[in-house]
Amino acid sequence: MPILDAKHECMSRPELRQLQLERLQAMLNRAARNVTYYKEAFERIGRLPSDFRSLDDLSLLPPIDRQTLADNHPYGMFAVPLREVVRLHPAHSGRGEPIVLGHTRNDVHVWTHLKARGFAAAKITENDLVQVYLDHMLFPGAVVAHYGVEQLGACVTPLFNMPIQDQVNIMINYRTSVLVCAPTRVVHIIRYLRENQIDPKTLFLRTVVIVGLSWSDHTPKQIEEQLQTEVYGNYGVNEICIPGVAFECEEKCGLHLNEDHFLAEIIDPETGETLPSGERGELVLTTLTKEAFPLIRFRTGDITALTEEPCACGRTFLRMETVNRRVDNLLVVEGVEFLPSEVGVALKRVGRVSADYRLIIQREGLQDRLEVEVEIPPSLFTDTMGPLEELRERIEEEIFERLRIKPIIKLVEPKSLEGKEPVVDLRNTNS
Amino acid sequence: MLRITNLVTSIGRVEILKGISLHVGEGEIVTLIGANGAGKSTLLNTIAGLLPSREGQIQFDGHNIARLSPVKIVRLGIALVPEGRQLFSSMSVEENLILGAYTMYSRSAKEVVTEQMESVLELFPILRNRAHQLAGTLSGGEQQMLAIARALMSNPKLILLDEPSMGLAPKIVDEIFQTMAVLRERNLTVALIEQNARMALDLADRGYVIETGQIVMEGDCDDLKRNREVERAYLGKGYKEIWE
Repeated sequence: MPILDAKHECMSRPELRQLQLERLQAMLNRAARNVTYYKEAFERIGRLPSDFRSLDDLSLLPPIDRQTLADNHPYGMFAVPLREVVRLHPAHSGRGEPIVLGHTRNDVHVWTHLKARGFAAAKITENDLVQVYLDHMLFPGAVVAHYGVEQLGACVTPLFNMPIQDQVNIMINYRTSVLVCAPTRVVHIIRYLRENQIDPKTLFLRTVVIVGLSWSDHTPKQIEEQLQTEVYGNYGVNEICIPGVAFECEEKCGLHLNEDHFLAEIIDPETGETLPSGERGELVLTTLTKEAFPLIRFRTGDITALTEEPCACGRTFLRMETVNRRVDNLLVVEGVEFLPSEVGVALKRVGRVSADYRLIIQREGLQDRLEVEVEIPPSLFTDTMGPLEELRERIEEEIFERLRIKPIIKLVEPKSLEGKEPVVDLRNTNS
Repeated sequence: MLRITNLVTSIGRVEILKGISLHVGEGEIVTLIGANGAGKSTLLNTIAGLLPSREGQIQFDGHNIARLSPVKIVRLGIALVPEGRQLFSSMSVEENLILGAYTMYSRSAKEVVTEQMESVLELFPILRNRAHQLAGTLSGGEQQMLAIARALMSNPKLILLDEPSMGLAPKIVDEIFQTMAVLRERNLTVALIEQNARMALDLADRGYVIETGQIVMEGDCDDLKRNREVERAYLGKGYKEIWE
């Protein structure tokens, strides 16, 4: 049974609760001393960190979200001086406001270890050749992923942003046995194989580790069928670590949440009240061991449910459902997170078009497709297609520049979008 | 083995420990590091029952020992090697050792005590040569060995060591640490307070950092050694003048 850190992964629940309490108290003490935001948060509720005597007391503190991080940009939420930070990752709040995430040497070490745990659970061993195909721009943890593989003694080829044909060639020539990849990129690979009439059986691939925020329930099964491999999910949160928060084991009955490093709660997204175990709601995470950037009750926006039911694999960490829904209007298309308003910002930069637009997201097979309908003024409707085609291309480029997604642009007549839903996500209804 | 939750201890009106939670697993060596006055010795003295706790729980092998007398705590298997050794200096080495077995001593247990002393003297052969010498006439290193040996005489499962290297020459400190490594080989569980944080972190499995009566850091010793704050505050490196 591939359990890398059995001491922690198989800890009894009472022992785990004790460890969580110790780590929580130490983290609260550090955060209250070193982070003005948290110090003021304690003052607002009239409590000291030493008043937190149980894990349940944590709910006394109000949750934070991406906006909190953006409001305290750049270093307002850091709990260590910058000289102790060894890595900075830029991110954004979802509304385009910048966020910066910091990591100390220990943070990177823990992150690497958590990745190695997830990879070990996916049965990666020193006999494997692992191809890491993650986008640096989307996954702050892309670099750490290859350290995680190395920690297991496996061989890694970190080919982060190489074109797909090169990825596939390397996969064939090097005899890659494991692919670490976002679900959308696996789709691209499957499509490339089909288009180039490459039989997946000729690959040496035996496992695909899909990494990301969310994927639909049927995605792993489809990948398994089409690539004839095993598929394991790895869940992460950009602001905490991605991947590395939770991982799937061979039992494939949910994702084990690394509870020795993260404290998880499920809250009602409307009322903010903590929900009992097993109920579906918004996942709220507290980092227990982060040194540089501790997050206390961070609202992930992801809808899931947690269960403490024991898993046949022997791990005692609770398990979370795969995330395929969010509480806010943050969209995840092709692995990219964005708010619909960002499309508006891109259109503003183009000019010449009205402020009205509509997003339609669909799933074709395993691939997401973003369609943007944009109203254009009557003056642009002429007999010649040239200017319209040029405008369409310009909008496409601008959106791609901002979101790194290639949309399908449809220019529509003025007022034709009136009364229509601004965002239509057909993915869940189709699946 | 030892599980402490939300421990509060006051001396007079001053709250020294402000809700400490920690655990020590069987066979582990766990070190507590912190500045003078942070509450490290208060913590060990509270575990040993020498100071009363005001709040919180101390679970040892399933027993709540927070309100027990020191004698009962020793009987359950916890022995303290106090700061400054606290030997009976006008008594011989052998008498000090016999007193260490006070809780198990009875006429019928005499043989058991003798066997225990034999086992302890195997660990500290120097004390065998000094058996009839007065404890107060021993060197600092020998006195520290005697203090540890005396604690071992009660056949503890958990030994609490409070600053064992205090006031000793570096060579003797090495010997004391070698002795502690032997304790690990004998599968003894150790909670160690040590001013020499580097040696303590090299020896121990896990550590806690205590500041003003609160734990501010916890982790494997390798993680703590990698922490820049620990480096600066306790390992004496990391600070550079601006012109360096």
